[in-house]
Amino acid sequence: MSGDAATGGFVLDPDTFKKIQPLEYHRRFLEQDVRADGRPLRMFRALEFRAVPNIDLPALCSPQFRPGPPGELTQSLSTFLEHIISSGHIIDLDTLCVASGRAVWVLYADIICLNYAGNVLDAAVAALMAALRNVRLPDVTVGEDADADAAPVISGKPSKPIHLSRSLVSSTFGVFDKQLLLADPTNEEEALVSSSVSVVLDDKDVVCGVFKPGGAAASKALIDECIAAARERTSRLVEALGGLGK
Amino acid sequence: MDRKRIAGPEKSVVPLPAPAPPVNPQTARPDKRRRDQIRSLYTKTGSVTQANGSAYVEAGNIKVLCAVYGPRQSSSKNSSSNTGTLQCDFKYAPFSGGKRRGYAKDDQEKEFSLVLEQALTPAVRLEQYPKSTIQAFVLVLENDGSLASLAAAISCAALALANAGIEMNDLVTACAAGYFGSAVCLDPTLDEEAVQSGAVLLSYMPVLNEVTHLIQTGEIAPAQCVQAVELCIGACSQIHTVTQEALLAE
Amino acid sequence: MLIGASERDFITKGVESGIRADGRGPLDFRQFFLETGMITQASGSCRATIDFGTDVLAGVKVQVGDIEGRVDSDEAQADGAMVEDAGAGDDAETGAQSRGNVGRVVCTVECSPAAKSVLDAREVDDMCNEYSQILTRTLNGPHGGLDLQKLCIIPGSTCWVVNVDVLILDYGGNVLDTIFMAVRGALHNTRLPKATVEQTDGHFEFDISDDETEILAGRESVPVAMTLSKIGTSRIVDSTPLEALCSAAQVTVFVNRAGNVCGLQKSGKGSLEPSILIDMIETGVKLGTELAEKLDAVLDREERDRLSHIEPTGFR
Repeated sequence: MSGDAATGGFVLDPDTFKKIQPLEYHRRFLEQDVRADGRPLRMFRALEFRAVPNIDLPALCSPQFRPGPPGELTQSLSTFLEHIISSGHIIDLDTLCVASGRAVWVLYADIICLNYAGNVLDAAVAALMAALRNVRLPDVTVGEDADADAAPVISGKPSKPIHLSRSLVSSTFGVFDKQLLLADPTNEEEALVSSSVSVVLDDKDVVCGVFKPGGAAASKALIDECIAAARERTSRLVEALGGLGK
Repeated sequence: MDRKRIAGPEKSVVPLPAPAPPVNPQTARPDKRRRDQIRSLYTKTGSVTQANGSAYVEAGNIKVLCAVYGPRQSSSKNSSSNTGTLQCDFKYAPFSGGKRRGYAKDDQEKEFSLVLEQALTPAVRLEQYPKSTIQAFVLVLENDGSLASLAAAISCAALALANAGIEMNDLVTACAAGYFGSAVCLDPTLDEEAVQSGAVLLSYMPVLNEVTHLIQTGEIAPAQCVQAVELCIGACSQIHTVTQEALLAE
Repeated sequence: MLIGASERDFITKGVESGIRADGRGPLDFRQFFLETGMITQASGSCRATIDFGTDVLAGVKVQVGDIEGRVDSDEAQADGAMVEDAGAGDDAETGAQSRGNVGRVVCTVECSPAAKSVLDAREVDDMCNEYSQILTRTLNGPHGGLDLQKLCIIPGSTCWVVNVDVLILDYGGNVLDTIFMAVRGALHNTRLPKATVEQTDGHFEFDISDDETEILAGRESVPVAMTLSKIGTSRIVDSTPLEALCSAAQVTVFVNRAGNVCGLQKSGKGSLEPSILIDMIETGVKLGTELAEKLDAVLDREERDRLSHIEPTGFR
């Protein structure tokens, strides 16, 4: 797209043009009856559901934590959880839609550790899955006009559970002396291991995520060993619980 | 914007509840309690193994957890005094009430933290802990009445302090009451709180028979005020029998 | 400030026998002076002085502001995940306004350097914060006396915000009561510019008048503070700094002219026996009602003087 004739006719690439002259950039599209992202003028984007997980390790749960904003460990745990939930597609999108194109449920999942005895990730994932199974979404009616500020009203109809397409199980291992795998490390062991590896599997044995926050380098063989051990544990767990309920 | 936590979408709204019949505690309380009846209590100590002492209290739907750390060495600015300090931290969990609360402390939580300190300090023998700080962290897991939850928090914190072996003059218990017209109802729930014209929170040491803290808001005739104070003191003694048993059971 | 053991003993035994160091009885007030309207830039002002003691200046400035939903702190909103509540309920403890048709009162208490030198530096900030909270809590809400609905200009969007700023000029004991005297005087003295609202096609517009003013509705129902301090087995009012050091527990009763209790606050590291507590509440109510009447007499006289153009003497 060439620049304005008034500027002397030098050529700008689209991104730069968009930065310097945003209004003009959008106007060029609108003249052709289309929007910058390709949509027709009146179309809404498909609303995506959001799950907002946050792990909190308050000063309450351990002498090592002080009151204040979350530390690095907490932040990385929260981010990892957000990844596996959003990319893992564990929740059926249809059950979360309230009015298509206009309103969708947002699930705020706040995971608070009450007592820190090591390996918070496994417990957090287990708690999160149990809580998601426990969710009951109230039946709401959204106002007819597209007034974005109006709150939907809960109708008297019964609430519905959300549909989980998979169940996740997390297994954490501490790597002691770079070779020995300690499953489910306590907080004393956590302080002594050189690194830790967490493997998140679903009920069909598919790996949904691996979390290895820093620490000493681990060989591929070690990671494979962790995954195998996690698979074994998950299948034992699934058997014991008679199939992880949906 | 807090970049250290996962943020939700810019705007999300809690749906309005279905229209419900109005609450009028003056005539009949929604949970059928008498005006001078408090919710039954469940207590448990020692659940937070990482802490020096801890306690968990349930009163109806209210769920409060307290963990005590200390005595720890004071930071340098406090270390010149010969008595210890008690620091209390009051926090609602984000999921504790109808509306999600943020992680940062808001004004109400800061005020309640101060009330906790004022209610417990007269009972703790801080002169036995020079240059030390005792920290009590309270987390309200479910809130059914803000003053009632604070009262439960005070009783819970006292229990946690005892569980931690902190020397005290007596075990503090607390009770809240609400004013509804000319009637006084003990231990108001969240629904009742929405229609009250005033409230009282009283903290009491039953064995020594002394009030450690009192706070009241709202306009009320002096006679009703005195009646509320007396009712709260009676209820505090009842709560004390329960919390004391929890300690003896250890 | 420090006090010796024998001095403490002297004061305590004296109070228990009904005599205080300056010759007053336990329930006698020192003489107080009130002066209003000396700060012409403020919407209202008042200075309250206790003879040879505490000196407090209160200034009121009204401004047009937005009606708030729920009063949340800035940090909470920065969390980025704030959920808007479409139908919030009232919070009795902090008095947050959730109905969209009331104004509000914002109070701040500060200590001048002269007063700070007398008090313990660490405690001054805590004291000012606590008093600010107490003032804000007591004045916002129906128990505060002021008709907050009359402060609403356009329902749901605009209201008057009454900013009350208190400066402690000198410390001579009994600060909280004096603060309330000054604030009450300043609110009595406050003149609110008249606001006229016009409605055109569902759109509201308001105009603030430059000359016409009105008084704050409900100013006569603003409560006074009566603090009683427990010394030994007895109680006193209007404590001097030395007496304050001998008292482990204080009860402040907020009373209005109608004789109703608008608030109660116990402070201090000590505890109180219930019968003493109830006695202090009842005494506080009785004395507070009398004080409110005395104060109003002084304030009405000041207002008459103002209207007959007698200039205030200001800072003596």
